[in-house]
Amino acid sequence: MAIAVMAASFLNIYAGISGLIAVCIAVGTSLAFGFDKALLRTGVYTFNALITGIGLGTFFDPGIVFFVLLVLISLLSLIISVALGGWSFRQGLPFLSIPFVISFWVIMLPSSELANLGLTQRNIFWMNELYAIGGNSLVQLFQQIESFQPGAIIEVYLRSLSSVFFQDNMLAGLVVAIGLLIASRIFFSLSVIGFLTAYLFAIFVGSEASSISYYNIGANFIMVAIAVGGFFVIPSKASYFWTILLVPVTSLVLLFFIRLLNFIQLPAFSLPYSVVTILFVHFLQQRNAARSLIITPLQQYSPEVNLYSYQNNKDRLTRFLYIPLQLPFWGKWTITQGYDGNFTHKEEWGKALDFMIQDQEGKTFQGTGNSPDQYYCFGKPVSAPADGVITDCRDGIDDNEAGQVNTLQNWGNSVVIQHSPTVYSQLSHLRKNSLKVKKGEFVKAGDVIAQCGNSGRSPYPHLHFQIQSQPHIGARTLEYPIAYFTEQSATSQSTLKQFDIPVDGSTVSNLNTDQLLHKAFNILPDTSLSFSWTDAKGNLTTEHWDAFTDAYNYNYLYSRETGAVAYYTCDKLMFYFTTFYGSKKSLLYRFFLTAYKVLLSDSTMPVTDSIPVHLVNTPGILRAINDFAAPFTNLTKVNYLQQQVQKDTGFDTHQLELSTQVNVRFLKKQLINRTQTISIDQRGIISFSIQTGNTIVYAKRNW
Amino acid sequence: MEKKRYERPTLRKMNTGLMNKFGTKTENEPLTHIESVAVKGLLKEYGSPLFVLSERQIRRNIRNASRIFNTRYPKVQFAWSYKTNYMDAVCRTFHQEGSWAEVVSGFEYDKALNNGVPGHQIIFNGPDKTDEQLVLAARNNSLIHIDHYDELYSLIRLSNEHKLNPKVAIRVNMDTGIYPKWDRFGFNFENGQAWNALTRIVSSERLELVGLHCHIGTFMLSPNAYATAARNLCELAWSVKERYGKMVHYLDLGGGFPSTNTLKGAYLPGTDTVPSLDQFADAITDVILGYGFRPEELPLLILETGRALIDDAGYLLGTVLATKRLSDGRRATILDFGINSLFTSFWYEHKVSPAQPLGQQTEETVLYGPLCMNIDVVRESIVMPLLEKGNQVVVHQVGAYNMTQWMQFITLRPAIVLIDEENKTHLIRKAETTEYINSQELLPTHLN
Repeated sequence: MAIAVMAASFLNIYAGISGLIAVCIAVGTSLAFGFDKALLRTGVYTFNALITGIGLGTFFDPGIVFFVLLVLISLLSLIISVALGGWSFRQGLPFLSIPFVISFWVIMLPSSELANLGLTQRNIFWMNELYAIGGNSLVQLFQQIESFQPGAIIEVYLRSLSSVFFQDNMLAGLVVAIGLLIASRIFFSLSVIGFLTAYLFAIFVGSEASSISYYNIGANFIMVAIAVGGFFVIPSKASYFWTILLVPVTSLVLLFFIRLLNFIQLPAFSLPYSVVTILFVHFLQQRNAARSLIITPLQQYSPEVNLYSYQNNKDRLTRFLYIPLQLPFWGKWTITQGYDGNFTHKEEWGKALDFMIQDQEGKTFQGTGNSPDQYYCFGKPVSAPADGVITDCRDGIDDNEAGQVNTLQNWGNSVVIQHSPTVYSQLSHLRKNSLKVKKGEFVKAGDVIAQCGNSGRSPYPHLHFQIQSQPHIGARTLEYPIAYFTEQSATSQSTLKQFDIPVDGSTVSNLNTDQLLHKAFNILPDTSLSFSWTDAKGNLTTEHWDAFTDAYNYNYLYSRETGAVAYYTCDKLMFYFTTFYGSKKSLLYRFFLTAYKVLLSDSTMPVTDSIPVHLVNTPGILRAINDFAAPFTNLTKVNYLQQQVQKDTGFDTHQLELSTQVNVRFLKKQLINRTQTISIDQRGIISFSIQTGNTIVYAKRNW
Repeated sequence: MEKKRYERPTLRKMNTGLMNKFGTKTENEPLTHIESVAVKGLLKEYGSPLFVLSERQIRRNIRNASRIFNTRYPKVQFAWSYKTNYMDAVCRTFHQEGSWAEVVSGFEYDKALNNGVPGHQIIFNGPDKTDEQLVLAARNNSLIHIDHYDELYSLIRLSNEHKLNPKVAIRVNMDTGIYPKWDRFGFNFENGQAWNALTRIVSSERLELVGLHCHIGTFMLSPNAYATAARNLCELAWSVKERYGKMVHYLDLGGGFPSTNTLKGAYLPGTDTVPSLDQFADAITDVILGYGFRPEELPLLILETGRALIDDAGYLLGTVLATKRLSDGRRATILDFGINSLFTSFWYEHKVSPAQPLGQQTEETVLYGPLCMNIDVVRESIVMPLLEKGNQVVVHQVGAYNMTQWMQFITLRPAIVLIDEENKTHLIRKAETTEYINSQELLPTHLN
């Protein structure tokens, strides 16, 4: 894309050169002033200087006065950018090309006063320019394309695209269009949709359709379409729909500005695009919760990557939002009243769970059930769901006879544990005098804190469990998932649940951590792993991966040899790779796919997941088709499966083998099927291998 | 209208004493069906006598036991005690429910392997392990529970000879306040023998200490004894941890939980006196949880429960051969099974029910077996309806030990039938035949 833009702008050589000079001035100045280098690298401060430079080079004749002014205006645009950014970034808003518009106005309006600055005539003599750059062949190509009659719509579209760089010819437009298509299928489809909408709207309201290609005015529509449909918002059906709505709005805003600014003889340039986009983004920001039109959470400068990462993160990484809670007991318990249940889980207290123990016949007691101690759950240990501090507890309330309730002391004997500043868990109806903790005491996840009882408003012994945001007994409940558990309903097999809310009537139990697996995958920051493997050419290659923690406290592995980076996270029961950047030829990339997600439990239950499309190698053409369709539907599915296959002993594992699979499907056709294994012993991960078809890559750890 | 049943006349001694408002009637309801399968049909199809096992009850028992322990302690593993009942069908039912195997001989070890139990899920107990068996068990990563010093030295020698790293535990015996003290198995706790053995194991290069084992007795009626046992094992585990910096992986509390059978000489029936499994579980888990181990280093709790999981799933069906009057006037009933099949009648006062509705009248009788031996007494005194030749009876709670300790003495051993969860019957062991017994015999040529 960058190359296409450069090529397009260099079709007007002076414009290109002055753009380059402007950027160099802006970058040099920012570096000298010591602005945030990470921010500079994204170009937000300097791209306005670039467009201003290109604009100046397009409209004015080069000369000494021109270059001095170029320097000054570049600086002005940088100053406006930084100043505007200082205010708008805090709001999470872009300033787009407003600095360019302002700085260009600053030169446009007084330009007639500046006698030594001449308006260029070069735009009239296109051919000479082209000849100077590319000789006869380029002129011929240009003429061929210009003489090509693709139909009015395509011609106007290409001219509109070229107007982004202050040009008005189909060659530049074609270069930009191809660049767009290569850079992003979504950008390209949005540019076409944005343009078509504007074109049809112009015909509909009777304004002159061709005028949309005039200078950079037509570009406004395409840029709004790209910005709203795919850049600031995760591309989706809704974003495409809003693109179609906003383009006509932009067209009104555009006409408004043209008329208004005409009084003071200023061009509108890309002001309408900037205004509409910034307004709309700010409009979207004001929502409490977004169901559709999600504002891009982490800008990766590609709508495809944004979309695929978002889909991945939405499904997989919700765990970052929650403290991993375990079920507050041992063994299998059944949920006798779930969220918003039929009995007492109502309104403010709706997001609570009641647990009892059932036998295989579904009975919760033995004998007559007239006395609380005949109930299986009565007296059973209740444990802390996560680390925390006891903020409230109450003991000494009698356990009721079966069938009786104590509505005066509704919650009975209870404990509230603070897990984070805003997350508290409450356990209620505990057995009289069974509390093992005091207020202010610290508990660890799994510590026994009391026994299940029948105190308070509890006709039959059960354990009441709720999450709340307040430190006292009986506060309003919060919807909050349990990190990992197995769930079995009357009709279904036992399944692994992750960050989910247990369903009424199902039988649930905790998973145990396998210490060997946990030790192997809990890769601590400032440690290194090194693997050797023989590549396809038969060369023995070694890669070193260093584990680091970034400024946001995320862990990643950095491959010394290839520079590839794989982000990971590991809790008590699960190891995840979250994302990958860098060469897909690196061994780290292979490991990323092999150990994409690993259950660190002694359970042999399979773990399934899906990998974002941009992180697997798919044939280019299918990937392109998938990109076009991605905002609407996923044609490509990348399924991941992990399972423990071999273990040497039941209680004391010395050696273990995991098997994983990556399966890429396009529609119904299987494209890739990789089977992978990871071997682990007491030292950690000792080797892994990947089998695709008949080729096997085997990587061995160097100790 | 059904034809009135003929009831033979009976003579009963008048006992003076307080009037009993319930009269002389004894609740001994007939048991006509086992898991909805008619007793009469079973006997007709498979012959009399006949052992019957209920798969549903087996599964119910192990699931209950798992629930009872798993809701009290985070890491629990049951190991099926093969000697209690090593019918393959029974063992495999337990293994399907997640139980490991606990064996006490090479024969049982082979049986476990044949039942598909992975080597590392076999616990090898008992005082009798040959060199070959020890090597095999070590190769299979089985858990070898060492019983005595001679075995310990053999194992050290064998592991050096064969370059093996056997996973071992020691069996510990101790005074838990129970008589008789089972001090003939394992190493004594109180006199320091157990600690010496542990030191010897830890300092050996090849043996890997993985657990501690005890088995304090059988048909234990006191949960407190288990609390003591658990505390002593915890103390040993703690000492090993303190001294050698290594936490054992498991504590094996053995078996010994009682079934609800009534022991001979007990005044009240077992159903009223035997503590529930919950009480035993409380006693054991309270001690281990409260001992001070960190949550992640809590040892796996292994239980080798046998009797309590199988006894009430087994029935013995039989037929009355004859009734007669003894010289002192007592009634005697002769059945077609005796102590040769029902070995546990040495210990228990088994509950015996008629298998068909009989009249209201009852009488006290002795139940004799068919053997021509004076000791062959099934019950010395039991109140039964007026039984006659050809009537059928059901003995309850015979699932444990009978199908392993029965004798081929005078008569042949009967068939065993399993009733599955869909109430279908499966013959799981054929009745023995003369050919089967003779097939093992060899005749010297001069006698031929």
